[in-house]
Amino acid sequence: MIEVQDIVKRYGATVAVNHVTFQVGKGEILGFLGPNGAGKSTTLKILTCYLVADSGTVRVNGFDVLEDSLGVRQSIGYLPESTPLYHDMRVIDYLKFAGKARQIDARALKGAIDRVVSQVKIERMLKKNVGHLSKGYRQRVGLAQALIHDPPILILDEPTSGLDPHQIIEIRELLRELGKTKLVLFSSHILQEISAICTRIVIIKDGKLVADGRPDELQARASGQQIFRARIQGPEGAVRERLGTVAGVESVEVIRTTDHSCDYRVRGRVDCDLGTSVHRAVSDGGWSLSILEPESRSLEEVYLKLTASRPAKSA
Amino acid sequence: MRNILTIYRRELMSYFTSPIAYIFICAFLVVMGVFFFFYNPFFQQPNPDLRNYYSILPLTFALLIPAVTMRLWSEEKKSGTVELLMTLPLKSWELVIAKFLAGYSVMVITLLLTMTVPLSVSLVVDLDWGVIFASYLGALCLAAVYISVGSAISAMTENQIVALLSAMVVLFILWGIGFPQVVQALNNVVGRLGTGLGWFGSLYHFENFAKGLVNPVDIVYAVSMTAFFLVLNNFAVEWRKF
Repeated sequence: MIEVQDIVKRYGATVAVNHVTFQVGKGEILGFLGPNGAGKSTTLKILTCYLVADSGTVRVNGFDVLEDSLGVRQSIGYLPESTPLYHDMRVIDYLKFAGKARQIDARALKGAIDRVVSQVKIERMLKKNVGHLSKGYRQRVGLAQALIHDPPILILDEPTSGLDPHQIIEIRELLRELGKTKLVLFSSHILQEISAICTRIVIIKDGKLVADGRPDELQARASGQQIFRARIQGPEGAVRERLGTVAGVESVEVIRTTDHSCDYRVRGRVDCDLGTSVHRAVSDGGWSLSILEPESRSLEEVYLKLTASRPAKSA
Repeated sequence: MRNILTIYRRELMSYFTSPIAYIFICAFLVVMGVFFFFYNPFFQQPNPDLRNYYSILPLTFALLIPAVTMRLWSEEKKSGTVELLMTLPLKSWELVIAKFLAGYSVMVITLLLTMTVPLSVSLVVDLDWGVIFASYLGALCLAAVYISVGSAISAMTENQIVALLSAMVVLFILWGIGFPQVVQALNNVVGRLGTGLGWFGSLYHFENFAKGLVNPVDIVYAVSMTAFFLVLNNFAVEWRKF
């Protein structure tokens, strides 16, 4: 539903988006993750036709953003960062305006407003001025205007920024629900946000796409080695020595010692069956193995690794 | 047309839900009233007519219309709502026309309110209504040009004060360039090009209306200048994407 092919966007000498390519299909909740200033918002602005890329192509719901911009804009619901709304309007008037501007038929407009009002739970706020609402309710009104024409694609730029924990949970629940029937693409620089609801993550840094995949795929890919935790009953020195000789093992460390057993962290290459080899080595040594489980890097570690700034080379 | 109407209604509503329209209308009527009573007072004229009253319109427009147009685009840019507006399935020229019409409507309402002067004066003095209606037609033409200039300038900045002052300067030049003395001075510097530049001055054309002359050339001037600045406005809106 969204095909981004090799887009580049420059602001003067600064390259905000640098040859980014990705595709998103229906039913996916795509998290667009990256540090502040990574190029997330610029990419979303290009997808929504607010900006034009210097090069590359973007197709949204089958429409080209340059050749059929109106088709793209009709297909998407968009909530920009910081939720810009007309503060001088009442919520109900604003939603009517948003519906009419999206060419919803006058007869269908009331039904559309009732639907989004109940979806984002703003029934009690309809008569209030947008400018008098709390940040959380403004965010909901912003979501309501993005949903009013029931678009197949929802694009949200930092939708939970500035909300309190309860509001964040409510917005996440709503996005999860919407993700069942729509393509939801949202950006955030908060990892927990993305990992909580996304089925797929795209990480962008300095305008470049540095990772694209399911959360578990990214964890495995970024780790670069297999890590197992093993609880073994046997003499510590002999066990360490034996495990160190197993093919593919790169390091063995003791992470916990009790009267009867020790916990070991065994790191090895990704191209070998490390679990089986460790199990066999323990059996061959005549010791007993009570726990053997893989340890994966947390998504946070993956993110930090992929977005870490490289130290400058000294002259 | 429906899209234009949707945006137009919102824009017009926003003028009247804030103090802007009320302050503008009051200020306009006060300036015009001061001119009517204190500068070349109407009732002290040997042959009273409203020609002097209407002759101040171009300068009053140049000074006050920027207050109406400054917010049209600058405010949207400053608050970020331009991002929502430009990602709605609407053509940019529809937005430009709708915003122009909203600003123009405020001017039409203001001009309608100034009609209380000729209506009340007509109770004591015989007025030449042909001249008065020609003056109003001229005022409507002039307002269209000035609103389009102000809107185009507003589309070029996100700072309302910059939009206000820039529009004032441009409209003041557009007003002043039509003065015979200015045209003469320009002719001395750039030869006959000065006369050509003088043609673009709004005063040059408005004076015909104020005399009761409805010359198609003056209407063509107003329509073409308005169209030019609306195209420039649309260009400024579209250029932002790149």
